[in-house]
Amino acid sequence: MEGKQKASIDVGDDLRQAVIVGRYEILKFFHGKKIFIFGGLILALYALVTWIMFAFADSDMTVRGATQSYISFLQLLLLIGATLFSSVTIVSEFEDRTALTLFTKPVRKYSIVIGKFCAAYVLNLGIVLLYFVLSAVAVAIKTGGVASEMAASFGYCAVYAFSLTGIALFFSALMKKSSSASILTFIFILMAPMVIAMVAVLAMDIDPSEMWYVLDVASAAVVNCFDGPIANPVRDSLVMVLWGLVPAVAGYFLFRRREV
Amino acid sequence: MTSDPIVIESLRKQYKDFVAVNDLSFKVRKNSFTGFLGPNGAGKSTTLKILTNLINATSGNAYLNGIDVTVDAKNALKGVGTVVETPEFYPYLSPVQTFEYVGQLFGMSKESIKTQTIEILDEMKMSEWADKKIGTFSKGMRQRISIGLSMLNDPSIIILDEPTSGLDPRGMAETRDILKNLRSRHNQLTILMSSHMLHEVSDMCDRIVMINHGTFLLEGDIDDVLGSNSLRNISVKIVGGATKQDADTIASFPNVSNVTYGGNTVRFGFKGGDREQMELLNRITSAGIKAYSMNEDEALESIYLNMIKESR
Repeated sequence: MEGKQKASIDVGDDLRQAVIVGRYEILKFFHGKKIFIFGGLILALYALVTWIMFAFADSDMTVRGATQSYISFLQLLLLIGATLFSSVTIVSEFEDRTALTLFTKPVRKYSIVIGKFCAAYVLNLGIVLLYFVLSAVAVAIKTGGVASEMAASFGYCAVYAFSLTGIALFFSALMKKSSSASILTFIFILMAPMVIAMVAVLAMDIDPSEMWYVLDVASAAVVNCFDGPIANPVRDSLVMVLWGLVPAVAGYFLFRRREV
Repeated sequence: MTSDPIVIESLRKQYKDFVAVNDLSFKVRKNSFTGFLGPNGAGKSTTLKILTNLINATSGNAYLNGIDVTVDAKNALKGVGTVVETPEFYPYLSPVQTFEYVGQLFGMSKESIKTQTIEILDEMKMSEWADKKIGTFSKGMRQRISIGLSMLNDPSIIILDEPTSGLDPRGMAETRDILKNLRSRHNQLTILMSSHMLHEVSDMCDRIVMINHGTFLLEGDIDDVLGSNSLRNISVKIVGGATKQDADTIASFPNVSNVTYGGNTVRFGFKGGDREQMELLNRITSAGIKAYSMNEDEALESIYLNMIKESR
């Protein structure tokens, strides 16, 4: 045999396979309980906010105020979605031994990662979009209008969901058990910004208002956009993208090195 | 460029200070059914998992149809079917849906997937289960699906890692039958199958590769390997139990070595052909040993045990 060959890469075919992997990944979620748990949680929350709004809110409630009642839960909902869907997407292949079927087929690892990332992202964001639409309907019935900031808020949601999916994918590639990956994802996203903020304030004497690089600060745009224009939307979006991209790429390399 | 469909060159896999595969090289001939033998921990599964892209080699090359799987796994695995242990499938999918998923990954047309699926499920005797969820299947049924799935892309190579491991006796027999049928129906296939069940290998394979401690021991046609081995392991059963005197008497016969006894059996090595063995039988009865049975252990097992012993 001759010396080391070079891999012949057909990006078009790799992306075609990523779409197939993603499609079957979404199908997997639709056959599991998690999507119903998440859907149920969102519907329960929606019902609760709607009931409070219609039963107790003033009749002159503003469109913006009514919308904010719904939107204030979005960051938490996206976090739960990422924990349920994205954090198990890779680790489950190893845990359930389906890796022995999928990984022995002629599919590049990056096609699998892209497919699974997109599936978890689309699903999480899709459910949140449904919540947005239902919220808009309820607000329109209550106030007779729809907040123009909703589109911007959903845009920030989309970027925030990307960052959460990237972080969850990293833990999914790192951990041996789905449960550990989910718990770590949840705790990390919940705790990491707090820890960074604490260190920055206490040890480095940084003003909290200057901590634009903290994920929670950047993602606050989801809700804050209803209070007026966001000071630096591009910077906040880029921060969120980086919070997702860096762990996703690291997760990909971990996954590439991982053995069955 | 060699035409051997599977070529392993100086393959090495090291986990910290443990070397699982050590400078291993061998080739698998085209259209052969090669048994890949070795005791537990010999490095068989590690080698096959490198070949099927489940683990990364530390160094060396592993070629499938001339493409190095350590460099370009996707293209190397294109013409290859794989069954590694007893793989799991997505339990919510039926065999038909699973074949669709994998067929799409291979880039097969819808029509081709459909035709192949019907044919393969029929060959695997799984047609009546085609639309049932795989999650409800027994291990044996899942293994049949797995072997069927390995045929979906009409491969030229099939790699099987202990395909009967973990199955009950019925499942084992079914899997062996399917593999034999596969071999007889698709004579252009090259099959590499790891196993530590020697009767399985001597029953199904026409060639063997033997390894131990991650290093190469032996390669060749089974008939040649068996023919080159003149040492037979023989056990003689004696009425009323085997005694030291019986063992000593047998040890005094020509070409007999390593005599042991216990219970009602005397075991020993014997160098010679069928005629010499017949003469030995005459000597045993003539010496007054009340032998009621004389068995020769399976030849492949003798070779295997000798090779493993020598390689320690």
